[in-house]
Amino acid sequence: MEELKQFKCLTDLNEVIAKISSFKARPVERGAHPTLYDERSDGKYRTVMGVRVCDYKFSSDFQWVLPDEQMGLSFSSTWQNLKGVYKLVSRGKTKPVDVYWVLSGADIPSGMAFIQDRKPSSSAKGHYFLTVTEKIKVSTLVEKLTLIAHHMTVIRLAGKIL
Amino acid sequence: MKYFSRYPHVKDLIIHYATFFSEDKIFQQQEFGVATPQEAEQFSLFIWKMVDQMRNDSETNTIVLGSSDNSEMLQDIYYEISSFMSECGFESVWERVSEEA
Repeated sequence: MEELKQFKCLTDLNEVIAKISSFKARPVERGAHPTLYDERSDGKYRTVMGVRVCDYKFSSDFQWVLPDEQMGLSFSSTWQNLKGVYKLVSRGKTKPVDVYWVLSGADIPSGMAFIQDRKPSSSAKGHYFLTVTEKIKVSTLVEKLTLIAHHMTVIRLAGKIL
Repeated sequence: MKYFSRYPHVKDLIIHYATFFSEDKIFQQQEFGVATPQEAEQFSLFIWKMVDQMRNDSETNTIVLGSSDNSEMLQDIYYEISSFMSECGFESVWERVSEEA
């Protein structure tokens, strides 16, 4: 996989996604963390230690994250899905948007897994949740998400490429 | 709530911008769904107009739903609108409009 990780060429990105079934990607505003969010103390998408409460299933005291196969950070596994979400996200952002990608498997710590969206839609086929597979402390989830971020590769895009 | 149950704040955004743009039909459609290809197209165009306005509001530091930057909801919008259109039977309309937007 070493030659794969050296891929930075945008025109080959489509081919990479098509060939590598373990490829998972998400659009990230330049300068932002690829897997954690800025702290928000209130609102429906407030965060706990950088994890949005709407992204994972929390215990009632917000100390633990509970396993759920259809909750987690969203990732794209297909070109079609990535292209669609990237276009909308970059349209609404005021800063450039890059694509961060990771290979599911070796780059994902124990206790987490990519699970496909089970909704019966064409967009769901290319959409995966980065789930937790066992009950863990929020701080542990943050550690795992930080580790995953370190394994992610960034492709800096000009926006119109996708 | 039948639609937008995964990320309900998307519904809040839609209602806010439907009010902002005086798009009265959107209120009914986001609650009960779109029933024709024409309605699906209009709803899809509204969503892209909403996204453009969200960017404009961020650039001008306009407070919307208590924040000057709701761009973290953008990926949730894509998820919920794709689901909504699929459930209404018009996902291909959403995809076409998005391709052209």
